[in-house]
Amino acid sequence: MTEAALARARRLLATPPGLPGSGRLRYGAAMTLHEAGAMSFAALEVYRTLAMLDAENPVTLLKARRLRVQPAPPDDPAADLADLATELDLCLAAVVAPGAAELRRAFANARLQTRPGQWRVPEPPALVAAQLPAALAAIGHALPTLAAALASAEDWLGWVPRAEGGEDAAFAPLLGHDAPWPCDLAEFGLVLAAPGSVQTCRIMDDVAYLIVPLTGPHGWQTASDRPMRLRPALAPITPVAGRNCMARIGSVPLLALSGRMRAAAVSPAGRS
Amino acid sequence: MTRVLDIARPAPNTWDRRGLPAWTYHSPALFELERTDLFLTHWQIVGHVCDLPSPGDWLGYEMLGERGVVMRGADGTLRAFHNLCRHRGSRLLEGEAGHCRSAMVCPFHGWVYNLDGSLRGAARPESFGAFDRSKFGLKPIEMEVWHGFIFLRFAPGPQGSVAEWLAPYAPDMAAYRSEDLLPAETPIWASDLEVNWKSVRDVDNEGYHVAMAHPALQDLYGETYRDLFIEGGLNLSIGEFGTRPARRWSVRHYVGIAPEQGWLPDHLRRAWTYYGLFPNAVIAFTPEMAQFYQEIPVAPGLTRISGRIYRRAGEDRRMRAARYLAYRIDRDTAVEDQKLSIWSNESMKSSGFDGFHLSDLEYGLRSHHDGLRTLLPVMTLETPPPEDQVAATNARMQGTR
Repeated sequence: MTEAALARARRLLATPPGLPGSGRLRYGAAMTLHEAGAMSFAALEVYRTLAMLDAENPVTLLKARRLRVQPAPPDDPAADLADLATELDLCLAAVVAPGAAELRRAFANARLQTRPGQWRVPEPPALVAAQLPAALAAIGHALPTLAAALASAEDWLGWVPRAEGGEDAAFAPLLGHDAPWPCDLAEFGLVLAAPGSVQTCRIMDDVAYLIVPLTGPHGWQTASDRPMRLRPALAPITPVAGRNCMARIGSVPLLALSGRMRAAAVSPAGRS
Repeated sequence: MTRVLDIARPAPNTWDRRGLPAWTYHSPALFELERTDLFLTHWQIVGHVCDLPSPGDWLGYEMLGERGVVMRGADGTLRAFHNLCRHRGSRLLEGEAGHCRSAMVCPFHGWVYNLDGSLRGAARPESFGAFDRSKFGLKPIEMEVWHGFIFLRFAPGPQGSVAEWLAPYAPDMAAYRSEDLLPAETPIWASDLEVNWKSVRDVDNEGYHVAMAHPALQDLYGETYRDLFIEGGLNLSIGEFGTRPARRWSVRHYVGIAPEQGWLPDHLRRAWTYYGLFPNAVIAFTPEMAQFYQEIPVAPGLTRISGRIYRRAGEDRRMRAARYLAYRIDRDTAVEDQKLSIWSNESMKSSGFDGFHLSDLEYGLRSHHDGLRTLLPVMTLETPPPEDQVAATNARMQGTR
């Protein structure tokens, strides 16, 4: 058993109670630790007993039975980001929109090639501290595992002011240039924007571009000659290439996945 | 590069025009032989690598009592296993597809498996005495990825590797860049039909009925449609569209809107192609999409017809519209074919049925039936053996060949 596998198991063992599927995650991790000699039969059985009861905290039962509680895992920024990437990937897998499968493939390939490397984590814009908690609260019910992963990875995301958004919007790249997962073919990350603000963007070249708002409703206008429409959370937005796209953020902050593929990466003739 | 068109041959016109005897379409004993000697021993197409891009993604495949799962491991490698806990045989993963975050946990007693199929540990391990974990990994299933498509085989059989078996198709698959396909928005379709699987395949294996039964296909490519046969039991059907003005709404708009795919070689640029996979599947391409469809036998009189649809990366609105129209044409064709399959299958139990008398344009049926007869010689008997002697008769006939 490698140190990395044990560290991974300790992380999974600490998956917060209440998240869907967390009971089995904890039990699977407990099995790893048991097989490595780091957990007793009795403690393993506690985790098995609660494997299908996501809401129950095994620590409570371990203490009641006077069994050893595993120490909390140390901070691991790369693992936090990898877990967030998994949750974002699952979110993307459920999206039915042009560009979603392209982005998912690019993100998966990058994640398979490397763990997150050294990346720049600048001082986040003030917007992040002001708006991210409300955004996470807004997605906590529908996307609890993503909200938890985002909260864990919050300190490792390289939030930067969004070029077109002034102080009202920020972007945290995950895939692309100067991102945890370097990639020349695609760009993928999170967008955060303040309630009541107006955001614009313009897609200059004919590439797959996709926005998946995790919060809502917000008003979206995918091209200047199209009407502004109120769209709920998780309804994908596909801006029209070469036209101005505008978003009128509603009463909750906008938190969204945003991704684009470069033309050479998506043209059937352009792939090698 | 050799094109499949260059090595294919047309149907001969001096041949035995009979089809399989009617009893082979409803005999439970023969169905059991088909299970063991045909379906479990021949490659089954189950998906495409794009269906499971991320570690932990999995795809299920079930047929005739076998439960398979293809899993992308933490290392990115695809592996196939029986979806069957080594403790008591419980199903580990439920559904057609999904994602496993870290491990497969058996819902029965709690054995835990890694994504590579190895056993992480048994529940209550102290209750098993000396226990060699390495002997209780999930049982692997033979798997091969060919031009992006994933094939499984539950038992060794006569087809060799997929790459060897389908080598004549390889240049076309490379030309289509099938490895780069992506799943369509609703990639999976399936419906159950109360017929023997061969009745479905019989309809799909010939183009003689197209002019009569499929107005849209006839309008699209009827004049150019042809079935071609390749040594080794492979067959290709091809029709070229846009050779004359179309009359039907879907076809007219499809032909008008389908963008020229300049990256495809000339012979595929305006073609709909169908690559037969003996015994029960087809990979089909249009310039803007691909799909595979197959008959999964459930019982002698029940067949699950299913398929998966794929698209090109980075398609624009016009290409997406063309793909929708192609799907619309296919959807009508499928409904029309299902009715024909039911009527054909019904006839097999009628005293008035004297068997098929096939046209040269139906040589695909004969070719498929010949493949079945070679594997299961009992199918050559016009009069059925008693049900309890079908297997023994077949074994005797195999021994005397």
